[in-house]
Amino acid sequence: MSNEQTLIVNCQKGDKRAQYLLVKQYSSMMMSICRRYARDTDMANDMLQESLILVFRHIEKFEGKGSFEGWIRKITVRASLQWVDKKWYRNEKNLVGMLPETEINSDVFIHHDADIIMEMVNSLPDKYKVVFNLYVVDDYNHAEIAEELDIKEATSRSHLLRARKMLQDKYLTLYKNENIKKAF
Amino acid sequence: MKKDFFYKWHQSSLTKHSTEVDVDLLWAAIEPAVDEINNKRKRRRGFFFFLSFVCVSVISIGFISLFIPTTSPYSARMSSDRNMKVYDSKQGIQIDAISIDNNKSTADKTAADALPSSSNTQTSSNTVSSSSIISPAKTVRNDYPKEKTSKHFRSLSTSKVPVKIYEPTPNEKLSVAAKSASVKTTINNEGAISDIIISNDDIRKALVVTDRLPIDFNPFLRIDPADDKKLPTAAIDIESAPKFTFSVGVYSGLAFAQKTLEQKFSTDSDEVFILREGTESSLEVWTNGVTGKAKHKSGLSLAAGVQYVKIAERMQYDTDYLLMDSIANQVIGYSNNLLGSRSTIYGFEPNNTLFDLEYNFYNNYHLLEIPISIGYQKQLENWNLCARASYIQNISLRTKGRILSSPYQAIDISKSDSEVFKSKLSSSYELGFSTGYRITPNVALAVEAFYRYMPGSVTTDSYGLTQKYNWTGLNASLNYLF
Repeated sequence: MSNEQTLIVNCQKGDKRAQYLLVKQYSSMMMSICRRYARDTDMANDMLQESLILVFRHIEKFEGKGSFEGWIRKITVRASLQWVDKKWYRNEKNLVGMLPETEINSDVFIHHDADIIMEMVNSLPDKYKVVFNLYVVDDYNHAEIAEELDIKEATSRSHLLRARKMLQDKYLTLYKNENIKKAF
Repeated sequence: MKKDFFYKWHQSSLTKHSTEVDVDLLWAAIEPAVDEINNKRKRRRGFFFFLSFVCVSVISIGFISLFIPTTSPYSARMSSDRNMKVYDSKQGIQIDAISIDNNKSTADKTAADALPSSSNTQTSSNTVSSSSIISPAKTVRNDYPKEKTSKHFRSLSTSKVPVKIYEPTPNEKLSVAAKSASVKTTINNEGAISDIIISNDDIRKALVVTDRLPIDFNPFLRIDPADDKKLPTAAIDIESAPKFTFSVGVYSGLAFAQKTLEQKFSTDSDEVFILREGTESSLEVWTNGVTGKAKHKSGLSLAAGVQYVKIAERMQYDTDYLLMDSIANQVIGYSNNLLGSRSTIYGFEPNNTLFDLEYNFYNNYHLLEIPISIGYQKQLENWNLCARASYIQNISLRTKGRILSSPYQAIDISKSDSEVFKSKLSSSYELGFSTGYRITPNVALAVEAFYRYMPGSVTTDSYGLTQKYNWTGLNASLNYLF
């Protein structure tokens, strides 16, 4: 039995030491997920605590099929989405037909580290950020996003495009500022 | 929509991203909720286990009850030297006792001539013209003493002796009524009197005979000689049952223990916890004891006794241990100077020893206890079913064996000044379901399924781990009834 399997089995038995080790091992990853969906650090902390409680509550249902980390990710995303205010998406207009998918040179953003990227994504408006994270990072398709957020598929697509456009603009602005600094 | 490089790069970067978290603070925040989840899980497991135990007990009892005889081992029938004549009248069925022999027809035969004899199985020659009689499929027997005048008095309500009433054969031209009728007392001039109350359905109704009844009269119903062999020869006890019955018993049982080791302190005893959990395994639990029981006639009982319990475990540990050492002032080399003379170089020579540590112990926990039980017993002829709940007070705990205290050291827990285990435990509780069989009037055997719950730990307060036990097992007991 591998270390991870031993950890899971002990957590299923209610071994507090194993549960503590699980928190220690996966809390960083879970916090990153929560931060991507939360409005601020306090909300991210609340999301994280709730996610961990859900993990311990449902750990007996984990049958070993698939990766344990992937299972925890799914629970964390679902728990985070409980905090999303569905009111953001009411009365949205369908803008898909009006917004093209934009492209920028990869040199503009590729050199940034994960912290900068996280900041950029977090700086997006909440309703765009949620759709962007669900689609791009957590591999939801538009139908699943629409069902989760109780919106139309077209709305999901338009929010994604808007998020993409805004991110690209931010990267361009950052790139220009960096070049200006270098020039001086 | 297929993801392009922009999306894929963001996915790759953000998936690998991790954020620093104060784990201790986080754990402190969620620990109460986690404890609640763990407790619910334990309660759920405990409930499921208890439910399984109850189901297995009920199924076992149900299976055993299939072997409970459906006919009563006791039966009572009229002595063969009695006779009854049944008349149907407006007042109901009247039964007169008349003396009938092969050749006699009067009711004044003396007692000396009429000893009850099981071979005297004559049918009544006075056939009954009445269309309605006593209950079918039943005979009435009375262990009547041989005196001329005797009195049998059986209380209608307290006698537990079933009265088997024999069914007459068609040849006797007796018809069987669908329903019984109670009989009123009549006294005729002949002096042969009997007050007989017989019911179709209730075999516990008693036969009441006055002292004016002649001894020598044959029953009007045929009596099956084969019934004699089934009937008890001893006189039926007609006294009312005592309020309390007492018994003493010895019992022995085997169970399988479930041990739970938990850490009291978060980090100090990590190593010991891992070592002990990986090296110790529970074996069997033996229970032996004596008990005295007082049972009220309602079925409720109180019992107390003394018992000895032995919990057996195995400690198995196999590891290598390299002891690194060096010996000083050893010749470690030589050097030659320019003049060609040789000198010896002294220094430290390594002296490493590889030890193979192998522990293989059987650890025993010896408990001396006083169980006090409250139970309910349902008697079914020779069988009984019993349920009990016990409070068990521990008097002493002695331990024997070895447990690991570090990766390379085992401590002897047999010493009286052990800092690991208590010398006396807190109380524990037991539930049991049993079935018993009375092999003689005073001796009964019983088999019981039981569950023991020990909420307290066997370790001292200063030791870093709690060690608790629960077990389920079977007891067999031999009881002497007073």
